[in-house]
Amino acid sequence: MHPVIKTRGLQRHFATVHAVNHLDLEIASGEVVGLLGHNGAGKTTTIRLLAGLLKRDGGSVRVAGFDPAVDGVEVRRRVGVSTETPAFDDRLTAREGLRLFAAMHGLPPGEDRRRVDDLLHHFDLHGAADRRVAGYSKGMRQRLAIARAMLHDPRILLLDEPASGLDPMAARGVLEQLRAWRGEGRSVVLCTHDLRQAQAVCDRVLVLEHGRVVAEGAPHDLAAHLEGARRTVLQIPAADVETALLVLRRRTDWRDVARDEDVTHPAVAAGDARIEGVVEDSDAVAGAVRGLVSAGVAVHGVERSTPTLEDVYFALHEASRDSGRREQVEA
Amino acid sequence: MNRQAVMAIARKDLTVVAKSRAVMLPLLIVPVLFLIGLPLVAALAPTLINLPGSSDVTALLDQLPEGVSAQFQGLTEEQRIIELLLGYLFAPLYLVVPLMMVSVIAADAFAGEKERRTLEALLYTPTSDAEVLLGKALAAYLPALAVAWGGFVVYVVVANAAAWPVMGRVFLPTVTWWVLASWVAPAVAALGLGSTVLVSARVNSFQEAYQLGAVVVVPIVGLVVAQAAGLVILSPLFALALGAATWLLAGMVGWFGMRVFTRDRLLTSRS
Repeated sequence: MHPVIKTRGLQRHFATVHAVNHLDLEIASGEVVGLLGHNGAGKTTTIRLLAGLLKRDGGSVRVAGFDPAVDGVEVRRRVGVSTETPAFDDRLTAREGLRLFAAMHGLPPGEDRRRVDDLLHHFDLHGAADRRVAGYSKGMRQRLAIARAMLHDPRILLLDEPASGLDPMAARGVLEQLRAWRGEGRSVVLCTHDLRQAQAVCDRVLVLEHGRVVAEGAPHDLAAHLEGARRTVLQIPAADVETALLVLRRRTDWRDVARDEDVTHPAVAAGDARIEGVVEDSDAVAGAVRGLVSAGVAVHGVERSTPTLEDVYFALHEASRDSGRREQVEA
Repeated sequence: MNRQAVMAIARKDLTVVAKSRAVMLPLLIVPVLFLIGLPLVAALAPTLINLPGSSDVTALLDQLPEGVSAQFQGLTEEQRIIELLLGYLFAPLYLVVPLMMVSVIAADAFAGEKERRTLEALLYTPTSDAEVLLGKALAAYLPALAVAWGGFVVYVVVANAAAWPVMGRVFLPTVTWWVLASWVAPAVAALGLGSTVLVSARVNSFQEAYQLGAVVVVPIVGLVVAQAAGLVILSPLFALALGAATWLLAGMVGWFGMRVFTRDRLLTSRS
């Protein structure tokens, strides 16, 4: 499928900081792609480069077939953007603000009124449409920001933390909206810190560190990389904890072995103890169970956690930090 | 040029300004003070209070160019004072009105929008840098021009009416005043606009932009002082030359303003 967004070796630096460092990105029509990374990873700069607000220092960019640095106006005609901290002229009402932006997007008079009304209804803001935005809650402002991004009915959406600071219900509403847009064939770039949200809605994620992509793939595929190092919990009689800890700590295929202190767990309440550790593979689990049984410890249960995108993200972050430290030492 | 977008940007900025008491208050007070209060006081003062002796006025008139001082021949002491104050000495103060107007609105439209963090959303609209700049410039310049010209009419009416008992004739506008209103005031507003745009690209608050952009007021104050000291007099020719120099300077400042007003610079200037 022809990509609606394509970057090759995209670069942008501020003084000596590489905000975006040789970024390769391809997004197809109807695809929801997450850009993950901590603050300063390069997510917002990427969005600004894609929309033609910033000029690149190197590489190439095409958005809807246009180069944002040359045809920024054409790109922004086709792209809707919601910024990380949506700001509004608080002295205006939501309806006034949206109508002024509709005019900037070139909606003819009459049509702009209809479009604004539709969006206010769609985002459940019609009841407060004629109130000054200054009195809006965080959730209302986020919805208004997304409504503003949708004024010109764009096929491409660049959303920077659209559910940031929202309560669970409002965040779920944003997720449902993203899924609906994917169903309509719109392409979405979603910058987020919320890894659960990314896992729930993104077809693909790119993990950014210092402007560089350190991992890319479907959330499920990325999680599969961590398959070998999963947290495992063994349930044993409380009286055998010391023996079990001794057995497991002797094993080289188990690490970070400790007693799970969660007293609210039903198994603990029933008189059992839980011992957790990080285990490389299922053979190590089987070996541990055999070892415990030979030591006279009954194993009442085994739980292996499924790695989440969050596990992947932190593992990558840790690896990147280690590599940074190594580079510093070598230097 | 996307005219609809330009006008929408201008309309947005004006709507926002109109709803801000902090911005509107100086916009109303200064014109009222300078264009109604001052001429009223100056026109009524000679009949109400004891004014400086004739030797002070004569000394000042002696320093005026011949063509200008000839206008004062045959006038009474009170008439001379009124004509000197309202016709000459207050003339540069009139220029402060469009300058202040343009500086306040431009500071709010450019730096104020950065301060409120509403600028980025505007930059994501399908407009070019030039269209955003033009929309914002029109929002500041057109009201300044309207107030300058409307204020000119108000000043002339108030001054003539208040001074009628002393003057007994319509003595304003003089040729110098016509030149000031039609040529110099638009140039001063353009210079104020250009300097505020330049400053706004580097600062992030309304107050900073307003205070730095309004530095253009210094030469105007200098002109008031120079006139009072008899060093210069706002003759029609002087006003024409002043306007030409101001337009030239405004053009240069505006050119630099256009160069710094890019999306990239606006987003990467210190914050």
